[in-house]
Amino acid sequence: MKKLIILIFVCVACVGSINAQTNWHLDNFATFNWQIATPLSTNYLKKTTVAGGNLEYRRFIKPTMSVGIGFSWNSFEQYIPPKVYDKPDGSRQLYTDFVHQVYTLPIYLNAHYYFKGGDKMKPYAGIGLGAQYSEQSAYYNIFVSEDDGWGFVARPEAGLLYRFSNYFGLHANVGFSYATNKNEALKIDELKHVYYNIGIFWNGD
Amino acid sequence: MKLKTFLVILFLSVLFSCRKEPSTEDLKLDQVVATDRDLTANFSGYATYFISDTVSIVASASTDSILTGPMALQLVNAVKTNMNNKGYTFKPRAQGLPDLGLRLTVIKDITRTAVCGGWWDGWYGYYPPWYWGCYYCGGYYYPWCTTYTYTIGTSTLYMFDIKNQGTNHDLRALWGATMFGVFSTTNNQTNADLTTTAINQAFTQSTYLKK
Repeated sequence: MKKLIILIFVCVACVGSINAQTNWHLDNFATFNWQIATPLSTNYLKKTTVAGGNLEYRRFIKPTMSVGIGFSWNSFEQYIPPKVYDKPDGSRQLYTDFVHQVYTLPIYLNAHYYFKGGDKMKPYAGIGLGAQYSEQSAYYNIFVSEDDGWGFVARPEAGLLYRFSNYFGLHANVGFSYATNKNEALKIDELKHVYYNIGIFWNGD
Repeated sequence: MKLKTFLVILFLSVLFSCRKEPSTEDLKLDQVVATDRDLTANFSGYATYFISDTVSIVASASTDSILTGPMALQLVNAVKTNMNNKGYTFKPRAQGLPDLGLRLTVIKDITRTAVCGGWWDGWYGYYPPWYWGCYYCGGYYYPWCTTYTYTIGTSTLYMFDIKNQGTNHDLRALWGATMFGVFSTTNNQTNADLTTTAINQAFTQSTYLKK
């Protein structure tokens, strides 16, 4: 997965250097995306989720650079078939099936560099840094064990803007999210996932 | 549409679509089975056991204290079958005290969270300590401590050490199974079958239980 992300970053950089012609000017824009995410971090969850979204606002401080703010949300969920869980000292066993769930809400400041992509397309790479709220839940029968908390989050990403007009266009990117959220009871030391955004952007001028 | 309007609309849409609640209906198809043991117990040091043909009920009504009939027999026979398969021998009460006493209890219409086993000790239909033959009995003693939520449909199976009653006639629990969770149906036979499955699972996961 890391190789894929690196490859995408390289491709974005290459696309950016192909066509130096551009008269497309952006002052600021908002983007709203459907987000798909694949968890990487723990054995607690491995299933890709399509329940997610992303909202960002970016303002250009140079023709090739923007800063902004954004947040995302993902609701990861996976059914764990019945099995016996042993207490290490052998004094207790528990047999059950689970629905594991992790909800993440990163809120971050971001910075992006834009390559020369031509008149219609603007590739970019950047990073978001901030805090991530997360809830971790384990449902079994009618019961639930859950915890929540905050952690630091870093989100390097690369993507593309493709405009249909001066005000509107398509947006897509791929990124890697690393957060320090922990849950001792559920043996979660960190939360990592790869995310894929596809959506629209709106140029505010 | 101005950018600020766009942002407000998006922000509101985000607020109402954040958290996805999972479907947990399938989780109710099987009961959760928890087993606890006394780590100092030597289970191969016991040979015989006894369990009543009736099942204790913990209910809000004091008159509703015991479950009899085919469903009670189905549950008790499941226990006997598993105990026999583990190498223990059933000893009728008329033949004297067994080495082990087993007690099966069903929680009928009470929900309670309790720390440590046996919060219902002394409950109406529960076997009093003299049931096991001691002359001047003490109480029940659980060497482990866990927090369980007992809901309607929960059943418990405890194994007590009759062979080594203390001088004060305390009966030490050697093993306990708590089978909990709500039933997904009100059909009694279906629920009895679910409990039977849970009893079998309790013995299956307790591999240390053997003569």
